Amino acid sequence: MNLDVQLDRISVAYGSVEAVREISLHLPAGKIYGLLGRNGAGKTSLLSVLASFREPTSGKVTIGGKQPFENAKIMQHVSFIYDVDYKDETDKVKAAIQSIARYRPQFDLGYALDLARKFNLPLDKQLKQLSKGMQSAFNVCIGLASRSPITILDEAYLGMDAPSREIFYRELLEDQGRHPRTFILSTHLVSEMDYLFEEVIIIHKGRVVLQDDYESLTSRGVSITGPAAKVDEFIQGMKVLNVQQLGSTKAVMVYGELSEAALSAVLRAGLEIGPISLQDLFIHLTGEEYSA
Amino acid sequence: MKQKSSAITKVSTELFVKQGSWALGFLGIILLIYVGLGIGINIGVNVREGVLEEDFFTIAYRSTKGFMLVIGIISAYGFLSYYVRHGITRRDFFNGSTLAALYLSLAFPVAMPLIHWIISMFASQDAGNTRLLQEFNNSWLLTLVSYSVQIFIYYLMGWMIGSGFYRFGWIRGLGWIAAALVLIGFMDALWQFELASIWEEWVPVTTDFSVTLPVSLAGSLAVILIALTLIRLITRRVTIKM
Repeated sequence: MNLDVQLDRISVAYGSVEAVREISLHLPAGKIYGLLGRNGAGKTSLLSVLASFREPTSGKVTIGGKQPFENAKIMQHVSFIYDVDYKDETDKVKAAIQSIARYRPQFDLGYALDLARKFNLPLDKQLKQLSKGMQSAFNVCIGLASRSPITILDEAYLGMDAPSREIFYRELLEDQGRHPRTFILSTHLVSEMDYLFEEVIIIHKGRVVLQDDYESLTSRGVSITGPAAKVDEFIQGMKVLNVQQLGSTKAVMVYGELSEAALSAVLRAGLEIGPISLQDLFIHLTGEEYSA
Repeated sequence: MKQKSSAITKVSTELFVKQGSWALGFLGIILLIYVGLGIGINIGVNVREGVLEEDFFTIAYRSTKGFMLVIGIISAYGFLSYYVRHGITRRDFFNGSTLAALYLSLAFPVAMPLIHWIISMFASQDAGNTRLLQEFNNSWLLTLVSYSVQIFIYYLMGWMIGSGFYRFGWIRGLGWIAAALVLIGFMDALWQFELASIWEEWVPVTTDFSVTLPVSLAGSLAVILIALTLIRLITRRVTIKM
C-alpha cells in the first residue's frame, strides 16, 4: 500500500486566529521528514489534521489518495505521537502496550518490550507514576513499535535525557532500515536531529517557507567570509540570510545555487567558503528579522 | 468491512472489561456500606426511619444509576481521545461504547439478584423478596427490566453530558445537563419510580397516570434513540483534545 500524503491548501483557524494558512505539501511515502517551526508556527495544528484529530477549516488532505478523516482503513495506519497527559492513567506500562497493540495492525509487541528494556522503562509501574522523560520514552516505544506506515512524532523527546534521545534516534534509523515507512518528525532541536532527515519542511506563521531534501538544502546555502568590500561584491543579487561583521571581515550566509563560475571566482578572490547548517538556515528563515 | 466490525468488537470488549472491573469495585463498596449499616443497627445505632427496611438490592438499585452516569461521563472524556489516538474512528468508538454500555446494563440485573440471594442466605432474609418488588407489582422480571433500561439510560445521559462538555466547553456544556434532566424526568415518569420530582415541579402536567409496560418500554426506547442520536451528532466530527 502506497500511502503518499497530499495536502492541498490546508488552513486551520481557531476563531479569528489562523494557525495554518493554505499549506500545500506532497510527501511521498517511505521517507523521514523533518518538520521545523518555532513555537506557535502551526506544526501541531497541521499534524493533528493529518492524524484526523480535527478537520481542516478549509482545504483537502489525502493519504494514499483517500480522505483520512473517519476513514478506518487510513486512520489505523496513522500514528500520532505527542506529549500525552498521563496524570490520570493508572494502567501499567506493559498492560498499556498490550492494549495499544490490539489496535495497530503492524504492531510488534516483542520490539516494544525490547525498546522498553533499552529505555529502562519499568513495565510494572503505572503510567502516571513515570517521570516526564519516561513517559516520553513510553510514547516513543509505542510510536516505533506500531510500525504505522505514517508515523508522526511531535516533539516526542520532551523531558528525555541525552542518552535516551540518542537511543531514540538510533532505533528510529535502524527500524526504518528494517521496516521503511513515512516518519514526520516535528522538532525545534534542529542541530541534534538534522542527520535523521531526508527531507526538511520549515513552516513559519502558518506557512511553508521551505521544502527541500536535506542534501541539496545544506549544499545550496554557503557562508562566504572575507574582507567586507570583496564579500559585498560577490553577494550582489544573492539571497542573503545573515550578515556578521567583525572589523573589516565580513561573514555572509547566502541561500541559492552558486554556479561553478561564481564558486571559482570566490576562491580566486581569496574568500573562504563554508557550509551552512540546517540550524542556521532554520534560525534565519524563521527569525523575526527575516521577512520573505 | 471485516476490519471495521472487528474494531467495534475490540473496543466494546475492552471497554466492558474495564468498566466491568470498576463495577465490581463499586459493588464491593455498596456491599461494605450495607454490611456496615447492618452492624450499626445491630449494635444499636439510631438510624433514620426507613433505613431499617433497606435491603441490598434496594440500595444497589438506586446507586447504580449514579455509577452509570459517572462512567458515562468518563467514557466521553477519557476513552474517546484514547481510541482516536490509536487509530479508531469516532464512529467505531461510538458503536463499541454503546455496545459496552449495553453489556453492562445487562450484567448488573444478573449480578445484583445473585448477590442479593447470597446475602439473604447469610442474613436469613427472604431471598425472593425486596422492598422494591412492591413498586413493580411483585414482579422480579419487571423490576429487573426496569433496572436494566434505567441504568442504560443513565449511562447515555452521562455520555451525552460528557460529550457536550468535551465539544462545547463549560458554558454551552451546561445546556446538555438541562437536556439530560428533561430526558431523565421523562424516563422516571415512565417507570413511575422516585416519581420525577423535576418533571412534577416544572412541567404543568400531572404524572399521576398509569403507564403500562409496553408504553414504558416504547417511551424508554424513544429516550434511548434520542440520546444516541444526540451523542452521535455531538461527536461525529469532534476535534480530539490533546
